Amino acid sequence: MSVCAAPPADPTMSLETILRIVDRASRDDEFLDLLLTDPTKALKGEDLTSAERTTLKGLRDSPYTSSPRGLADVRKMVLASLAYGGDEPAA
Amino acid sequence: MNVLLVYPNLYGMNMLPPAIGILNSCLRAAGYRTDIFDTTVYERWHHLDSDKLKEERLNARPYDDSILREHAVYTSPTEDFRRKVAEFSPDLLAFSVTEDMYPNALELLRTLDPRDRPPVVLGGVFPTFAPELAVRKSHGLVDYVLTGEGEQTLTALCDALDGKHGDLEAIPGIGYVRPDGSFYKNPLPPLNDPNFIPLPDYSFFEESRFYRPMQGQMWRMFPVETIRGCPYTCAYCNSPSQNAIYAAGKVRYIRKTNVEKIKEQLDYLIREYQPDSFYFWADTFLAVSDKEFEEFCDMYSDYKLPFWIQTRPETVTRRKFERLKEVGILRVAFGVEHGNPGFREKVLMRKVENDLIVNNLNLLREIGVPFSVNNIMGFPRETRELAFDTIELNRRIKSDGMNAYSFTPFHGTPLRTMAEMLGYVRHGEIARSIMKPTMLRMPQWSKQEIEALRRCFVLYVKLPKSRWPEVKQAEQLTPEGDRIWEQLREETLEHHMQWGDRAHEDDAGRIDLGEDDYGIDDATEKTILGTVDERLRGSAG
Repeated sequence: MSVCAAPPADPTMSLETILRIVDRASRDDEFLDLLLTDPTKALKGEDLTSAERTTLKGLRDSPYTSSPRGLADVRKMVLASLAYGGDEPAA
Repeated sequence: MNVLLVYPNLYGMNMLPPAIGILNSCLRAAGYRTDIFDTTVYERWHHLDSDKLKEERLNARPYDDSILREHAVYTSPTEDFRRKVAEFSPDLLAFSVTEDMYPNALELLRTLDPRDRPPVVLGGVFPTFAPELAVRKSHGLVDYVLTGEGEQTLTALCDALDGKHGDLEAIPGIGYVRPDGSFYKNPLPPLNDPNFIPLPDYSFFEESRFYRPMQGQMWRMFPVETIRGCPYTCAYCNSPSQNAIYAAGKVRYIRKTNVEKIKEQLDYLIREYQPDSFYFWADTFLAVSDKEFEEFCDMYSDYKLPFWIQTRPETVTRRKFERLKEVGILRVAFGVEHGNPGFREKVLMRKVENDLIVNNLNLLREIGVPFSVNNIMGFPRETRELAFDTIELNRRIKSDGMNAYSFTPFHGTPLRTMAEMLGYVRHGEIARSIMKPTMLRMPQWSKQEIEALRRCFVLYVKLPKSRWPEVKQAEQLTPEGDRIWEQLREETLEHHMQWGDRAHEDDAGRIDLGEDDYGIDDATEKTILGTVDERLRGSAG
């Protein structure tokens, strides 16, 4: 299942975009540091909606996602969850 | 200096909080005058009685709560809080809060005149994992947060406010908004050694707070801390974050209380409070070595008062539970949480096979130790179909009590971040009680559907599958659905719930569940279902 096949509940958010940036932060220590200390600067140049920007800025609030390993874990959890259906809106 | 400790708890969340007792001891030892305002006794505040709701949903055995009701308070907690502050004249209001209590704390604080309000500090799990949010969302009602463990830092804050010594900026773990509007926060304080912390002083609590229901009766039960932290990494819990924070400083968050200190606590509690039972406070009681386990049992064989623990299914061995039964175990709670092994491993970060869970837990039935199973519904991306894996797993477990809490995205848990990424919850939204309907907004499974399945969880687990069409009807959150649910509930309570108990001194709770219906083959079941369908169609017509 592709990431695009599972849009977030908020239609202004793209899971694909968020996971791309999370992936970069989990692999690039310099980018992660910037995301944690100055998220506005880190995300400059990214074409993000307000909701996406808020969510990504919020990563620094959690001790778990302030580390590369924690970020990678959450990204893996999101991707794994896509295998479990849940794409059809409730009737 | 007067310090009013405030515990803005919900009615029915009856376990006594050891943290408040320990902080009370620390403050009194430092010469501060203390008192408590504890909202647990306010029956009508927000109309949520956690233990009674469990009883109603068949998650717990019916019990006589007359002791609690005798001491319940029916006046307004906000008015009483204002009166308490006026009478006690605190120089500091110190709140201990989990995230679901935070709105209660703000509600209490709003009743005070800002001109007379003493400084306010918030400590506990929520401020530790969302310190800036805890201050900013209060809109000026909260002055400070203390993150991490507060045994040293709350006293240090009092010392600084009292002008004795030290300055605020130097207190480990403190957070506050500076005059320029920026948020200041110090690194977390060093971890305390549980073997050297003061004994808890519960003397300022209401008498009724020493009681809690379990197995259909009230117990005068006191907590005894044996382990702080948990070695496991479940994504719905804050343990991964706790471990991550301290691992960065090359410190292990999990710490154990040695057997001498446990004995000291037991002797003290028996002397001061005359308990008839204990709760050994540990996320995973059996996360100990064999040597530590044997030392504990040898020590506790001198007491043998009934006790309750929580542990993981993976930690069960026949030898350990036979030994625990010898020394008086009353009951165990296990977190199973979800029934789909893949979802549990990949999304909840919890790897264990269903067969191992079933075999280990059913071992307790053979040994005769009553136990309950905790489950969660409404995880991010979970579907109704996945939730039925949890129901199916619970049908295989011969427990005498089971819960299905709604998933709650507490700050500091990996699943909170995941839920935000998926847009199911907004950044900064405050999580509410696990007893309330889910707050996630998921496209594939609505709040109403999750809540409907939650209320029918025990019915699906306990009733034969041939009755599932009726249970499905009971899921409707309508007067007709309520009526069916009530009927099925009564029937299940009368005929299908078999509670373990300790009626005889020599039998610590043998459970006799009798014959089950799991042997029905597919063809028979289809016939039964068809009959039921016909009957239902007939009654509808």
